[in-house]
Amino acid sequence: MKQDSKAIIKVENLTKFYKGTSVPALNNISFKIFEKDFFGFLGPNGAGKTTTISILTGITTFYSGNAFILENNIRTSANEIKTQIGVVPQDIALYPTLTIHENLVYFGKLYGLNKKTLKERISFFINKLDLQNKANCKINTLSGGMKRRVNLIAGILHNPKIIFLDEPTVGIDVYSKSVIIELLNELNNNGASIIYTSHQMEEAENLCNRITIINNGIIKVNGTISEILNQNNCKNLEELFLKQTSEIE
Amino acid sequence: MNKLFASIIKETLIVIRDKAGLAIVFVMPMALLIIMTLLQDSSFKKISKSKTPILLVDSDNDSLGISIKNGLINSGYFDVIENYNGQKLTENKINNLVSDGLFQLGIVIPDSSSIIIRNTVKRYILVCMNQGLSVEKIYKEVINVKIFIDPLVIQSFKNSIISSIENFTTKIEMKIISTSLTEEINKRFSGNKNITFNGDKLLSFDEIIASTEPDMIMPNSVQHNVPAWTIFAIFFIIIPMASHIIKERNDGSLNRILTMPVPYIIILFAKIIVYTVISLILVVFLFSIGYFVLPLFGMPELNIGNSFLAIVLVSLSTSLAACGYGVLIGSIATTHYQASSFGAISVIILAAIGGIWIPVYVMPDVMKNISEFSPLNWGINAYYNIFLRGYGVFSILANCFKLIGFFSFTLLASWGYKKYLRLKG
Repeated sequence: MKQDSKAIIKVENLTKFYKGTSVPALNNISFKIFEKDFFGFLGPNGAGKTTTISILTGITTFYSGNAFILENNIRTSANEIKTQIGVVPQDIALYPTLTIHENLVYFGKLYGLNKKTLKERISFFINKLDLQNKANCKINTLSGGMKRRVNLIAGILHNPKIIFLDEPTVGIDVYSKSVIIELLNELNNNGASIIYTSHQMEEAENLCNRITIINNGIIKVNGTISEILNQNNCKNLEELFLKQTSEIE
Repeated sequence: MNKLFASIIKETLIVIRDKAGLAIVFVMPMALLIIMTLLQDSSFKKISKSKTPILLVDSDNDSLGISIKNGLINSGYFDVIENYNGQKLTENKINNLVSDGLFQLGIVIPDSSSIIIRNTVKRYILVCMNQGLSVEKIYKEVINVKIFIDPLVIQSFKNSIISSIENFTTKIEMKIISTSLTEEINKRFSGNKNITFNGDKLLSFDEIIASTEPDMIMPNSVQHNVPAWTIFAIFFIIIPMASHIIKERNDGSLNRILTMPVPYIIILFAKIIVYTVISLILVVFLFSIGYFVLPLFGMPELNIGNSFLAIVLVSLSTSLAACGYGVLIGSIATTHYQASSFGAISVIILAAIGGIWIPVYVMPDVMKNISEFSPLNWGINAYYNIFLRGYGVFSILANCFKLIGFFSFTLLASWGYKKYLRLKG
């Protein structure tokens, strides 16, 4: 287990009720994510993954409990935190009538990158994800896999210390999946911490070093993959996931 | 500043590439402006040139009958008909034709009406010239000019017709009185042979359109329709604007932006700046249609008054009001369909009550009061001040402040609604 001093994200007693509901979306959850972690945040639909990530990334602002990113409280230091995190949503959050290059320039400028750095980063990532021939194509003319690749670049252009990925490989071709995973591993090896949600247990098992499974707003298991598989007498993550999420509450 | 500039470029590219949105913003208002101006212009000409047919039986065939007939013809409002199907009209025939709804009006002037008036006047003069005789004892004959009116004729039209006929008959009465008086005086006082009371009007009315400017433009179809439909078009910008806001929210781009180190107000201001510039381009475009294109259809060219600064201020504040409304609709509506249907219908309603379709002065009092609450009314009144009354900047400031107030209110309401949604979940 890593030391607390190296935790880059600390979540303490996070609780979230949506208006008009009596059941909490998040029920007093606490966990830590450490530097250089490839952290798998897993759970079935409606478990509370997106709510947690929405709170950590500043989209949702009304909740109880505390969360710290790089030792900054997300309630009081949202702007400082936003320069250090990158978010890759599950939706293709791009402007369909703009080209790849125009989209990336826009998002890069919102991250505050200067012209020279932006040009270098766009060129690097476009080549890395094999999009150099499509740079001036509009998003609505690209395949699903290409859109996913651009969606990823838009969230990591500013070289963030922490990257939130919401199902980055869902519904895409094998080639796109492989180049995305290759890039994510490279980013992680270069020091970025990655918080990754997915329904693909095999992929999560291969990529992540630490896992948290959440269901009905409650954290079911949390730890390194080998730890939690041993503790629960499971052969693989899929078995553990089914065991933890199919229990009658 | 760099983030605002980047957002402005992004919005501009999105707008330029949205061909359907551009069609809504430019082509449809242009077509609407030309069609509505032509329609209202032709209606106006039709109304001014058309004459109401009026049936006439002149049994008098003397001064009164001739004067009424000439008065009706010379007024320019009536076609006087004395024969129907080749036959001379009679009182009964008029009654039947009007009651059958074939004609709306008929007049019967009784036999010897002029003689009766002359005789009565002479008796009056006789009494006046001979002291001791009592005026009360004068034998008076009343002439009944009969007016047959279709019961379906509206009261205001009926009143104006009767008023016009009374005007002609009063004139001829006065003329007969003055002629008789002149004759009697000249008979009695032979030294004053040249005395003439000819019944000329001593009082006349000059109709002047009030303006402080000597070269004021008369209201016409172009002067009303061009600014009116320009304002309508500016407000129709809310549809593409709200749709883009909703699309950005629904496709996740907004959530991505919320995770970035940029205040959302910058993104919003970029949209407002871009759509305000588009609105101003639209103003120039539609005013150019009024100036260059409408004259090709035989209509007068648009006169934009004397104050360019006032036009800019009105156009700018109207554009901002429309953009604020677009932001509000975009914040509240959850789908493009909701935004386009509610946006379009609400603008049409605001246009109707604001005097875009028909001028406010022809509305009933209740609607006149309601029109005060339409931002489109503030805009059109400000343009009227510049284009029709020839006023300058000071005359439009009150309406501009109202429009800017509306812009501020809609932005605050959008912010409040967003706050409520975030509280909710």
